[in-house]
Amino acid sequence: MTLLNKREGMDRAAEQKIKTSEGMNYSFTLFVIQEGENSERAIENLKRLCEKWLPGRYKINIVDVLEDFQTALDYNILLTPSVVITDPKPQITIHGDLSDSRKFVAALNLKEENEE
Amino acid sequence: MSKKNDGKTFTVEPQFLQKTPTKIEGLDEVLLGGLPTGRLTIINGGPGAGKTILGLELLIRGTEAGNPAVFISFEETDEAMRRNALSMGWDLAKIEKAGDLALINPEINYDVVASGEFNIEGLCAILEGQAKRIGANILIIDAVDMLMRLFDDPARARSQMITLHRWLNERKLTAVMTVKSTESYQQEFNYLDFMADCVIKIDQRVEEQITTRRLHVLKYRGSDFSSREHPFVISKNGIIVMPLSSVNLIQQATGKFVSSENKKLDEILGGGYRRGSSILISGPSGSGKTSLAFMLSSAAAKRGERVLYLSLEQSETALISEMKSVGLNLESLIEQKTLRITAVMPEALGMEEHLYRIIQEIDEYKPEHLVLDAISATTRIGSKKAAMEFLIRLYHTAKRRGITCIYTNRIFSGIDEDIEISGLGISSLVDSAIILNYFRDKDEIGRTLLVLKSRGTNHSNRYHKFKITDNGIVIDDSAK
Repeated sequence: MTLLNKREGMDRAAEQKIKTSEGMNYSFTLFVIQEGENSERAIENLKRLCEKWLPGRYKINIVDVLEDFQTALDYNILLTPSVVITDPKPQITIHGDLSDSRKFVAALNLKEENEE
Repeated sequence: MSKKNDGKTFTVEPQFLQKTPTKIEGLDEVLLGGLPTGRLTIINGGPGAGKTILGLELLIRGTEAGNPAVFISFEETDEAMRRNALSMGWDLAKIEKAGDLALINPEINYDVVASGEFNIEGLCAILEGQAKRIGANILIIDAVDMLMRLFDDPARARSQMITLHRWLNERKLTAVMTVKSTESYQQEFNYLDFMADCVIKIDQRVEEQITTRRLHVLKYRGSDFSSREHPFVISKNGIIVMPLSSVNLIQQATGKFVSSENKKLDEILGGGYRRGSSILISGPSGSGKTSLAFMLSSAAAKRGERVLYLSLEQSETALISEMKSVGLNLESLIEQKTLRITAVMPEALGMEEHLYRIIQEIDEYKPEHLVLDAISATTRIGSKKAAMEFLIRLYHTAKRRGITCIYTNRIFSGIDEDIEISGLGISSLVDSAIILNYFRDKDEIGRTLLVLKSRGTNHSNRYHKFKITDNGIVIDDSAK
């Protein structure tokens, strides 16, 4: 229970920070393996998180590495699923299916701090 | 071929193990044919052991043999790879252009965020894409330890390496992974050794200020292999492994008789010495070893046989003038290219480099006789151990090529030949042993020659007096 409270606390803090940079647009490139075990979940999670935190100001580009390995190489993506926040800069890579939403929020957070 | 049953891998029907020759000099001899085709080989070694060069040469020889290769490096950029390869005379860009090579060097960014589950399938997809593009059947993964560090969790790294291994096996790629072995290797990465079908360890060590490199096959599932440590060198043309053969070293001299062109000496030797045999000339300093060795060399060179004389103690010029005083004109033999004197500075190089140069010279000049003057000087290469290894391998090189060898060896006592006549124990290997010595003969010093042994001949067992004159070695008719 305490863990859950903690998590909510962090989410709220992050929410406030994100609100400070409202109006900024985000671009994500999500690398998956079509039939990969975590790919569906990664796509769902990314969409859900974007809807929650960045409604109306995000773009998601999905790359199936089996079909387009060159783009994965260009972005140095060896592990899937991975999402690259291509905009705003600096570019950040997150490995995983994003089931740990705190990490995702923290990553966005970090960028905002960098930009301040 | 013997199969080792480790209890786990034997659930499938034993099939004939296919091997892919590496075409790296000496390595296929150690691996009894090559790397396991369609399976994983691990090469582990410390920093600077030569892992990347070995990986590069596997790719070069592989593509030369018509096996396109994917080379992925987690340590160096492809620019650096191309440059390093070029320094060995290997043009990677050309092979890439021909469509036989895909170089990949992902930049590993450790500063990433992990959120939830992920796996190595992305890398597999990249490798798959590149392998399909060029039709590769060889895959080399350089510095896989760098990739594993990306997982930041040993358990996760392990399960992902297993996924990668499964993928390699499904694709039937002949794969090689190089791994940097560190002190923690045993705990961290030893499952790689269990996973792989073949494990090769290479290292570089400094023993008594001499750097030597060694290659050691630790495991080869389903195959016999030479389990000894084999020295190797990185020459300017690539890696050369010197397989230390475990076959019986003693071989019978069976060649035809060769005359010393000295009637008396032939008689003492029981008809001359045998072609392809090895002769040891032992004696204290100044007893006439070099003169006798040159007498035999000149005799052969005059018949038109090529003689390579490796001098570890004197320069060519010094030898030419010294031999002039005993009536041997070496210059004319050198001119007609039947005699070649190569001065070897024992201290100048490590044992491997010496050996490599000598073998190259042997293969280029193709001598029928080889003289090593003197065994006793080889310890100056480094340790006694290094000298012994040098000798044994030189001995093997010559034997394999059917070259007749003459070794000289300086012993210290002028009186008692019971002490080390052998020269680092080589006497058990040689077919003939001649011992030169001094003795006090009234007011002067006399010289003696004794044939201690000569396999396959009915040689004299007596001490024979001899003189070194302007006309060479003259053996008295009377025994001492």
